[in-house]
Amino acid sequence: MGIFARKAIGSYRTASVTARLAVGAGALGVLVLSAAIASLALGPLGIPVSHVAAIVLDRVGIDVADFTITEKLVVEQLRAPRILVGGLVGMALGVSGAALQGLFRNPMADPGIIGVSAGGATGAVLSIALGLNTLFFLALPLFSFAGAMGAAFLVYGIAAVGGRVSMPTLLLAGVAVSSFLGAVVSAVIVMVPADAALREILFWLAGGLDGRTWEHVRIAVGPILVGVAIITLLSRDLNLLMLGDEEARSLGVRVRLVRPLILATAALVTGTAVAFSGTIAFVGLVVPHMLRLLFGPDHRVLIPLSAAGGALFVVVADTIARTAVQPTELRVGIITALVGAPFFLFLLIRNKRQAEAF
Amino acid sequence: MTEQCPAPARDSRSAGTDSPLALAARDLVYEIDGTRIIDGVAIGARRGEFIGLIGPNGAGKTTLLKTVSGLLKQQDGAVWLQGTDLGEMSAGDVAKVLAMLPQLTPYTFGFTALEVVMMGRYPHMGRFQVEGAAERRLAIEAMRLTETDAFVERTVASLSGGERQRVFLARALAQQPKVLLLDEPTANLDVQYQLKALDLVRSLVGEGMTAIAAIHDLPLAARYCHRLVLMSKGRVLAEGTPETVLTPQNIEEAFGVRAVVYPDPLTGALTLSLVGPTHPDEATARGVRVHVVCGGGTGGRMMYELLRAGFEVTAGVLGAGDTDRRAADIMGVEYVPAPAFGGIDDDAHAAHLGLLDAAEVVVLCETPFGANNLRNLEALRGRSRLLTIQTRPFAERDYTGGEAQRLFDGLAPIARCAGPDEALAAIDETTRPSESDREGASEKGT
Amino acid sequence: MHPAIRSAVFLTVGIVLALAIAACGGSSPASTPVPPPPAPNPFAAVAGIVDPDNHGWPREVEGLNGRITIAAKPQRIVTLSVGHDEMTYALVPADRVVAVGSATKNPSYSNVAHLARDLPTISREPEVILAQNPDIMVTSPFVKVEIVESLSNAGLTVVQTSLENDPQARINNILFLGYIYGEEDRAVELAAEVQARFDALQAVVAAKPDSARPRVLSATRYSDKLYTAGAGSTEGGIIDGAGGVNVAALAGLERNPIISLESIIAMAPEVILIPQPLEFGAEEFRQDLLDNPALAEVPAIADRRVYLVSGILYTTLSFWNLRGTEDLAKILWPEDFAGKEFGPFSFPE
Repeated sequence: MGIFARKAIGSYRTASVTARLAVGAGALGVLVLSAAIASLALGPLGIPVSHVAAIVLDRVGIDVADFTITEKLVVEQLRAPRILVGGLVGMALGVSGAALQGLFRNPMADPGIIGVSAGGATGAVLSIALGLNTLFFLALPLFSFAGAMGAAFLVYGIAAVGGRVSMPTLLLAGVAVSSFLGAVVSAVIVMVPADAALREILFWLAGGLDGRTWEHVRIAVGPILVGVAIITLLSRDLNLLMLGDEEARSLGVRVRLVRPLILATAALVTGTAVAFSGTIAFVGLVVPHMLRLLFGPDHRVLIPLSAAGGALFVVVADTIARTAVQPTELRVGIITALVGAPFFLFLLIRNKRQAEAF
Repeated sequence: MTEQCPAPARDSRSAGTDSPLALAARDLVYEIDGTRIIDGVAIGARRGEFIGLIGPNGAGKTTLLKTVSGLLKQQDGAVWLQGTDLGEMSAGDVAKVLAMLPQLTPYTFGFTALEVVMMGRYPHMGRFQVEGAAERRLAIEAMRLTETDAFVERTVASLSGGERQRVFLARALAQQPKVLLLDEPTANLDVQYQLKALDLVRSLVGEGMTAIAAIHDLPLAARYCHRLVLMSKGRVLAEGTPETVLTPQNIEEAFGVRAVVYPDPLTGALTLSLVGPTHPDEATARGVRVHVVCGGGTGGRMMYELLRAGFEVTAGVLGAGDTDRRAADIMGVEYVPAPAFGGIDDDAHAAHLGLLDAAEVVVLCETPFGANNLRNLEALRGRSRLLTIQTRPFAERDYTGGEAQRLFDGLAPIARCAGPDEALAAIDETTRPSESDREGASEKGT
Repeated sequence: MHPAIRSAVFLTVGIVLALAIAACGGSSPASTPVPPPPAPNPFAAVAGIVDPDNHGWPREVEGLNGRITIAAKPQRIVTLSVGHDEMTYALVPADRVVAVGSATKNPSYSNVAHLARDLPTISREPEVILAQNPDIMVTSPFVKVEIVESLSNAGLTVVQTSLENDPQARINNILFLGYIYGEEDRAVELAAEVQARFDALQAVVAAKPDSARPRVLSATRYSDKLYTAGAGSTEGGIIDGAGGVNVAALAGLERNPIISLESIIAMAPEVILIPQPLEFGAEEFRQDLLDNPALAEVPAIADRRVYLVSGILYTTLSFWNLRGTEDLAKILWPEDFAGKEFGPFSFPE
């Protein structure tokens, strides 16, 4: 990095929390909005951006006309809910990644890598296998949440010896828990009768944001926004927790309460995200890292921006997935993995070079 | 509900007002897996008092600091912070009053020094409040005090250990605590900043803050602290002013080393020289008594080396104000005192002969002889196991016009040595049991 | 049923199910042209028969797994796919089939479930297969090479053959299988029956002008994912055979890809087929399509021409998919086939 870039970053790194938050939120807000509008305009059915704008404006009572009913319905009923679910899922994964990294004091923590997503998937599969999802529409999200929570506390219990979590332990615990849960899912698939449930499981496991409706938006929005709000409120405590439990405690953090609360909330948002999109990897890793490079590690900045950044990443990735190989679709997870996996390796290599990466 | 704050178990004479105790603990017990790290400790720190916790590694100093700050929960006993039972205070309430500077500078994840220092303000801010100009000003002021204001924009990870230590001290100060606990605050600092850091703490204590610091550097502790608490094996071994705590006996008991303690000639504070670890089974420590005839600064080093090697040491007649006499005082070496320039009277001479008779070996240092101390030389007449240290002709230190030379020539030393090391080797040789003795001993032993 | 057996059954069905899904996407390589009218020796042109004039034993065939010698007329037959079982039951008396996979017994997946109901169930586990003491096994290309090899090494005669879904290759499959089983006469008879029904259908639909051909989309929905059938799929072949235009193939889709709901708008089908079993939510899917306001202008939805059709007829990899073609022809050309009832195919005496 050039000295000027360093200087530029340095100067706004020391800008106040409010200033950094304002700059970041402004920039990301514009990007998210643009991505959403672009995504609304892209699809198998060619709808001009001007029509999309007119449809959006029509919603708020501004009549600039010039669109067909079908265009309006496609934008409002098909594309909009999918973008919103994608945005919510991205928010959830971005925030949960940032929170887990702070909580584990480990830059590699990510709901996918440490097995929390796998836990959510296992819960979801169990709810389908037991037929509960057909009896009660919230069964799948609830089971997914429970699974994510179980995996989170399991990995934490294994890896967090004395508060600090070493990188190899964390990654290995994540691998172990993920493979264990993978085995559970395989066993469920074998044991489930070859009927609708099995098909549902097999197709659910493929993941993706296909066919998301306003109903999905309505169910997902509550837990995810509440979870993001809780973690945002605890972001100052996360700052202190990152320096160590004793540090945090001596600066007034109720460590024994806040730690499990953050872990459970991260599991809540991850579990909800998994329930509505399957496992989408690497969002929680890539987004907080980029933002940390740009805006520093302060969670009061990082958490809200990770929400916006996660939403941006998933919406863009899903738009690419939806449109890259038209008329068929790719899974959004393929796009996030294509970006995320090399980034993950880059971080591993960089970490190897520098004992303390940050 | 607040219990009555107790008086400290053992009172001391310092800061003797009836000001309330800023921090008190009684009957503290902290154990891990059945091992008592803290075993019934009581401590009381008054407002405006600087207490030094000293003691060997593993004595329980860090654990005591963590327990009284609420980081660790004691199994027994109680802690009161400004009269309130610590167990009934929330972490947030504690943090408004008490700051802790930890021993190891932790992982910092990319925070800048200023961000870390401003974290010290968190306990005083509402949950929805972010640092404003006031917090920033307090943080920068704290950084100025610790001379870290140049690092404002630097990430803590890019700082050296000592620089980090000062940044974290700045954070503790930014917390504006009433009670400041410091765990080895000088451990990573170079000499200049050790003094500056403790000067800073001392001046804040002067303004009414209470400080308790675990300090491994005993002279520093003695110099800056009002009171010292000497810990050993989880208990308080001694407590009080530096003079009452830092005795050679206490030091030997706690640290297992022999030390000589004396006032620093420059600061007046107690300082000490370590004589060496106590090795009761060491070959040289056989209770062999060596007598050193010296004066005028020629015998200090010899006495010191002999003590280090485990010999019992006595010295000849030393006049008041003599450098060697001061050294003997510091090291606790017995000698025959005489007035300055008063010469050696018969009583002193007789006492000297008594010491000489009790010694197995006698060392004559390269001492100048004049009328005042000539009888020290005379007393050596006819001594069999005598060593002399001699690098120059005796005539150069004869201020008696030849009488001393005559006495010197009449001596029959078994060795003439060039300095203390050679002398030590010769003494060792002279006093070691013969081969046959040793074989006999080892046969008996087996 | 013993729980362990139950699990095994479920596993088998799961595998077969996955296979069936995969099979739907199997593309058909260039097939050998066979003249439809029975020639003096109808087997001469069937690829894989080493000596068409050899009607005795042993006889040799060229399977996908190499040249196989069949020592004597097979009496204990097993196959590892529903498509093969459907053809086998049409060629040999039912008692010569000694075991089937669980999917064959499931009426949701198989057109011969009623015949196989009481047979032992096998999986792809070699030991399970050998335990039934078969003298021949016919497998599809979707069975792993290792399984075929280990069964061959265990002394079982295994013929691995392709399963095609276009009309002419269907006839070849019947003749080839008939030759393997030593039922040449029955094979010729069945081939003629299938060919005749196909020709009868073509006589009507081939005459239709392109402009009259309805735009047809086959769609299924599993776990909120929308799958369609493009070029090279079984359903696609049925749409073509019934005189429709497969809009998915027209849009450039191949096999069974995932599409978005709005792609349906872009494809603008006039008829939508849902070849999905009812228990897998076919009716809910149909209702969602009809109720979705965004799709209201799609012709098929505006005209309410969204049909639940039999999955076993539309997705099978045997000549039974001709029944699907007939079924669709009746949907597409109601006037032409008014009152016409298409029955099942014949079974051997």
